Amino acid sequence: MRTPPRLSEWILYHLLEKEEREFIIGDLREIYGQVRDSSGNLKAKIWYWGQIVRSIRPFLNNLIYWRICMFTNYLKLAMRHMRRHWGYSLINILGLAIGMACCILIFLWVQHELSYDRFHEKADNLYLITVSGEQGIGTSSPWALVPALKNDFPEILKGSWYGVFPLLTRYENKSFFEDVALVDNEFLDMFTFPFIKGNPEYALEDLNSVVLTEQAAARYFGSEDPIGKVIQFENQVDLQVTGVIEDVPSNSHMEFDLVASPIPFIGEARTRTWSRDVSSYVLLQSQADPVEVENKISETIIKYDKRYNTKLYVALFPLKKVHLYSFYGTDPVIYVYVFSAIAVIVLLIACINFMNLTTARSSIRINEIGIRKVCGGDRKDLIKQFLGESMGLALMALIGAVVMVCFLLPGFNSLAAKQLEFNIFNNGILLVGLVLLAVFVGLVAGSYPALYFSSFQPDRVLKSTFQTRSSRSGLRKTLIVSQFTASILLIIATVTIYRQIQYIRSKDLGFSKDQILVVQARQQLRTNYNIVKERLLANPDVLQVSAASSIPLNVNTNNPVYWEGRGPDSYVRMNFVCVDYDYFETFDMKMSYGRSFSREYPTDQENYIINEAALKLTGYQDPIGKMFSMWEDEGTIVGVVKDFHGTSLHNDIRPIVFVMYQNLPYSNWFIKIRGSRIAESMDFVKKTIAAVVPGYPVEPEFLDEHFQRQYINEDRLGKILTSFTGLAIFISCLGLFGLVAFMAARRSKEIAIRKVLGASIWSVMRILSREFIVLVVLANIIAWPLGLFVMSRWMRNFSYHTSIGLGVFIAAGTVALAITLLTVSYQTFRAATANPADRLRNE
Amino acid sequence: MKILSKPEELILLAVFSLKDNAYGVTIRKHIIEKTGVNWTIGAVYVPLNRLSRDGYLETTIGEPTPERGGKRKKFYSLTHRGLKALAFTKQINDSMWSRLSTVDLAGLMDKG
Repeated sequence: MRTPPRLSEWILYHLLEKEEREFIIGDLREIYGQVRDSSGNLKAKIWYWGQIVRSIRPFLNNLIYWRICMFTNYLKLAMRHMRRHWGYSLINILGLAIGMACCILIFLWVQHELSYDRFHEKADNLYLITVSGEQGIGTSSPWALVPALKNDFPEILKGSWYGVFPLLTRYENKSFFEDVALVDNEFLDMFTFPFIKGNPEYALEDLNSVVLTEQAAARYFGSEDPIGKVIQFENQVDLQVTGVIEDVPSNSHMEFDLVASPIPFIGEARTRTWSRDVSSYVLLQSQADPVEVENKISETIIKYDKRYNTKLYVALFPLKKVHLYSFYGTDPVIYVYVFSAIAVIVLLIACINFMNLTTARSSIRINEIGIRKVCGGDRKDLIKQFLGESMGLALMALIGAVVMVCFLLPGFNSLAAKQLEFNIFNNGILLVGLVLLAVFVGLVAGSYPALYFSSFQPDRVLKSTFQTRSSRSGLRKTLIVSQFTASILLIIATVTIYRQIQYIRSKDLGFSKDQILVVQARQQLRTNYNIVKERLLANPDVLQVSAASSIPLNVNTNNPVYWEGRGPDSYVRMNFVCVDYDYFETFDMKMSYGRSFSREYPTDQENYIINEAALKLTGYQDPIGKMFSMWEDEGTIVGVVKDFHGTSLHNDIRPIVFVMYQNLPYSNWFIKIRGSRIAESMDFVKKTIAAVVPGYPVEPEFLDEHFQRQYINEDRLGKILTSFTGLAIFISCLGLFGLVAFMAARRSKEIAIRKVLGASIWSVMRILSREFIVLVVLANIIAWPLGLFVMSRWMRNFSYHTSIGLGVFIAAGTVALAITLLTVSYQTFRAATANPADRLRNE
Repeated sequence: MKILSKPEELILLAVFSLKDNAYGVTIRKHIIEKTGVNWTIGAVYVPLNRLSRDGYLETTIGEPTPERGGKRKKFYSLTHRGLKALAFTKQINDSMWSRLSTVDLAGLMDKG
């Protein structure tokens, strides 16, 4: 071997500044040869290694010195460049920063949505029991089910009821309405709600105990020790505090302030019945097969509950899916997808902007590139310089975005109804993601100038005739078109969603929901309904008073029904509502056949009113007077009410049966008041009820508010979408603005010559704008079919929806075009009105 | 004028005495011979690099030779600035040493 050890030479090679490599390595080989000749191969090798090891430090210092030199030079030029063209730089960084800020906000939101219920240690083996019949799936299961399951099946380790009820509480002189979770004593053992005080295993052992969240405990006891204190519920049940748990996290689908057993409230006998009105969760053995368990649960219900026959499906719904997937209708997870898509689109628009402006800007640095090449900079250095610079800009944008998010988060939180926190140092994925994003954007945006410009021959570049425009405009055009396609898509989506929301709001629901107060009557109130009704009606501002077992928006109790002609084997359940007199009148519901319940017919308690959907199911041609039965109570149909949209417009109208059992304690009271004196009437209602039944204050709500709540997701989606669409369009315009300014500056001589030759301002503006308008039109052509496809898919979520008219597309296109024109015209006007002499004089 | 460090001074002197044949190998060999200390390559090249960067030395590229594995040589020669720096250093050295001769030094050391 005549040459030195390869590895050591490789190390040396990388330690050296590239201009020095050849000479120093050559020198060393020469000495190596000499050493080898005099002392032999082995010694020479050892000598060489010794030299390398001892030289690492000085060489490395030297290398770093040169790197810093070059870096300061790059930095200096970049700063100079930014200062000289500060407007473009600002637009460039700002656009990207806004895009990144949107992305961060949406990411935080999505992250929070996906984190729901994952904090429970046993989350993987926890399931919600859903039971379904003909009327779709429900989460209500029988009270007696959980105890029976725990008894019968070893693979079901634990189980608990779960129902949240607003209960009136009292401690000393403090009284509140609290959300109380009524659960089995194993509940706190199944779910991870960490205890601050008390023992999770025994906290609910005693039926007369209650566990509070930290916040609730502070509300009652301040700084005192809550353990052992007694809180009174509903003025009659005394429960002793046995534990305090941490507040329920915001990413829990369960929300409550207190936890207690249901038995003191409803009695033990009720919990042994098979009436389906509580949610149940079970904890399975980790190796248990959920499908097998589902069948077992189904068999159990059929075995004990004689009302069911074979048509019963039980599904175990994994806890982790409860928040994002629903049992019927649209899965809320769709919003996660929609928002993620928006984030990607906005970011894409911002990145395209950044790329466009970066490439445009760097083309005026062609001379610098030429000089660098002449001075010995090779291609690699130039690539490094440009990539580094654009990554630096992207990182600056990232910092800007982080600052923006800090300011925007409170606003976004109220928009999205969340309590998101932004702490990048706590949020590893976000931090890494953001830095990667900045680096990626920088790389992509910088790659074009880096790779393209670095390939130029210096002599060609330095000649003043060098032109780059024609060769590059193709890419830029493509980018602009995709940017505007995205913007137009967002506009179409926003307008369509907005229109759908309007449609829902204004759609004739088939009943009137205005000026109707809803009072959720608790147990003690219900028996006094007739007295309250009488007193309320004494006031001329109260127009109607009625009551029912559920509000018209939320009818989901269902029961088996029978009518003449129904096959004896087919098992049909229908939604039913128990109503008082005046129910249909209060809501202005119209009858299509027959009459509503009336005091003139004393037998009405045995009669039925059904809706049109139910009529269709029975197949009766002339329904009045026909036989109908629910449970086993045979009666006749006295009326058919016109269909009304009870549940949200996501769903079809379901068959409903109305019965009137007078003296049945109705839990929902409806009070229709005059529109002119709302505050006074509200006050009157409260006082009247308080006078009849003292100690049970009520909070009447408008039915309208209940109604709005069903569309809260659409509402939020609409608002968020509008904000982000606005931002996306703003970013697009920002980029376009910069780009047009840049083009106008580049073509200033051409414009000047055109003007000297007699072109009018108008014609110059037209020439400059034409290019962009063509691009926006092209973007429209691409965006329209895409928008149609996406939005008609979304509309399918609603059983009742508007059509997507051509108007939406035309509107979106016009808006995009108008904004483009507005943006472009400022710059083109400035260019076109400039004095040509100024432009042509300096050569 | 900047005062040269000892390695820099020695390297400049070596380049001067080697005339037309001053490149990495010979410079290092010369200094090792004169000082008796085994200088590593790093200790030679880094100051060399710095001196040429600061304009004390200029470089010319030589021809590749087979014993160097086909790599070219980089020859160093003193610039006017380099010569001036040497003169300046010599002047300082002389004036600093003027009160003390080698003989005196030997005598003082014997006493100690």
